[in-house]
Amino acid sequence: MVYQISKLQFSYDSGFTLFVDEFLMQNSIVGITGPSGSGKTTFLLNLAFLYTGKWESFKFMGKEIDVDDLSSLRKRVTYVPQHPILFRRTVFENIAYPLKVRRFSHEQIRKKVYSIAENFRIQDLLNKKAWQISGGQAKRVCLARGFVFEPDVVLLDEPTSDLDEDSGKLIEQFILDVSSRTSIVVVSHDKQQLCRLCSNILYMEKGRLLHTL
Amino acid sequence: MSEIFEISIRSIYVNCTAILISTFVAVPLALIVDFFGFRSKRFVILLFQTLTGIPPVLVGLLVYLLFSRKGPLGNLGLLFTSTAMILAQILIAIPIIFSICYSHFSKIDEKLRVIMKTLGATGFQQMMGVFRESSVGVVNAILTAFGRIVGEVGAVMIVGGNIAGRTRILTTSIVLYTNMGRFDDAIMAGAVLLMIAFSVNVLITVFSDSMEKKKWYTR
Amino acid sequence: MKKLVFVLLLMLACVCVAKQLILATTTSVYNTGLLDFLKPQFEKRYGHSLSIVAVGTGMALEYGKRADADILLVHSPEDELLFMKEGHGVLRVSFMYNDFVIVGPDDKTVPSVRTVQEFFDYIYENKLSFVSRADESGTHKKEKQIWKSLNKVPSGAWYIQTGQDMARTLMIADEKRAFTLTDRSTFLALKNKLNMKIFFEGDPQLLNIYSLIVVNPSKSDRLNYEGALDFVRFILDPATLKMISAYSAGETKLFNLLFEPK
Repeated sequence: MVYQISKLQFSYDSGFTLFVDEFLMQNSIVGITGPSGSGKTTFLLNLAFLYTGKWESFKFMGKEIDVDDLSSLRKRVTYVPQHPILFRRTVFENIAYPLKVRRFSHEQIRKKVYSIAENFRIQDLLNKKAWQISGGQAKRVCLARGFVFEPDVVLLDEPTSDLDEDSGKLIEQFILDVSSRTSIVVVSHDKQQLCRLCSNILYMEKGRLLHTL
Repeated sequence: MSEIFEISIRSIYVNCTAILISTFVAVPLALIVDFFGFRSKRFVILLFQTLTGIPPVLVGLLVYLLFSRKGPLGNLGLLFTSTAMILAQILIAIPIIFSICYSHFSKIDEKLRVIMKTLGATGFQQMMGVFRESSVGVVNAILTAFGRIVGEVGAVMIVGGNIAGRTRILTTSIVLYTNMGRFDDAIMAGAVLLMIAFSVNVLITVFSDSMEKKKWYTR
Repeated sequence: MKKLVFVLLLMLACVCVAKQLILATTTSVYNTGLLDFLKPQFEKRYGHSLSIVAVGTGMALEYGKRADADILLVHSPEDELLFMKEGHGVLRVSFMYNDFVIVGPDDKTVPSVRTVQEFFDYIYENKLSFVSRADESGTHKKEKQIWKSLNKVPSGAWYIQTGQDMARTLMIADEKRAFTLTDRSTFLALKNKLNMKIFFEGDPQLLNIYSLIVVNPSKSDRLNYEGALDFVRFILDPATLKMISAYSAGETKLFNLLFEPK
């Protein structure tokens, strides 16, 4: 079990409340859909240990999580937002960032960055500055940055929005390819895409997670 | 001629040492205040912002009273030394560097902080990330502070005493030359002062440009 | 960083080892260059390292009270006597003088008068622009003393208070086409840059007497009492006195001795 959560509750100051009665996730791809403002992104941020609410039980990889040590949990999970956000550095440095903070050697960083860049067809962009590339390219750079350090779980928020059809197909194929060793949660408005990617699709509405679609 | 050379060297030494130390104190401080949330945070920021407007002469007077032989640190014998001038300039520069740096750090997109966290950066690495993202702002802060202290005369006059061969720097010598009716020398010293300020600006601009272009990897 | 700390420590060490002699002097003497001229001879003969800090007389006396200077060269006899009475100084030697003069815009004309009081009274009654240093310097104290002897309190738009040193006050007076009281040496140094001339001089009340004061060594262990005494010895040396009386800016001698060297 990757996630085993019961009665998770998280509230914003504005009053919006996320409530998840039960969420179980095996090594697989899980899809989440639902209308805008239903709390999908908030749920992802909770799964990424970036937001912490209250819960009855919150197990990650079979162990109850320790709220005082979220940083070590964050090392194993990553969240890729819908709208790409990059450092004001080169594309290479952006993708290398998670490896650099994990103190990989320069040689390893180079190898990993080049290999993932090929997967996302951005190898020609590596020397460009973050602000010199298009939105769709930035999106692929963000995805590559999320996958490059091979985290246990990747949480994808609308992974193929802003992308043309070819790139979308490329990303979908990549997700399917890595799903054998990486657990993935995909939030998407595109139900057909979710059907192509995953067997298990959840539906969110008004801050609640519903298991039926 | 050798007099003005000697004064210029001392000016550069005093200003650069002061700015170096201030930078090493104020920039990390701004990063820490920016990173951690604590109760008196707003007060600390307000305090530093207020201190940026403090008249340098007042700083000079405080440092004088501190180092005066009858003062609390009188035994160090630092009054009328370049060390005292450096300290006064540090006290002038720190609030400026802190405030400008902090305003740049706090403007960093919250989403970028989330990205750094989720990509596994530790607290220190997040601070370094914020620092790198606003490096232009930091350079700007240092330049502003440098500009302020390089032309400052009131504080260094009080704590340094404008002693020939010991604590006379360009700004205090300009005052002296003017009083002595040696206007040519005063203008000469002013020109050197401008040249120093100009070359420091050029140096830092070139440096920050090359930092921007530097690639630590090769194809 | 290590290097920096090292340099700082080294400087600290230097400051602590070489006990320097700090002379706080009135700016009017320092600006003539006399002290910078005498300094190397004193250092060579007595082996002390002399640091000269030029400030107003009020500040110099304050330095003395706080034991920040070892010896003072000042020109405000009344304050000096008070300073001595309060026990801040152990030795006071008056040794040279020059005089104050009243200067003003060179195109103005005023009736000739005999005493400085009459001149000040003329300014007061006619509300002629007058610039005051207003900085508790020796010159300012002299000016206040004259107003006091007249029983008049100057105020109004014609009375301009600068709070600046003598040179800047002279430049302001020049700009404002105003009269001011100045010591002769500063005026002579700046004369070529100003459109001003001397309107009144020669009243014995306008004598400007300079004295050396040795600060009371019981104030602080760090005071360089020996050095201060050596400096007094050096100044009172006939050879030095002759140099002082011969010291001039251009054609004009700047200082007169209060006594003839043997």
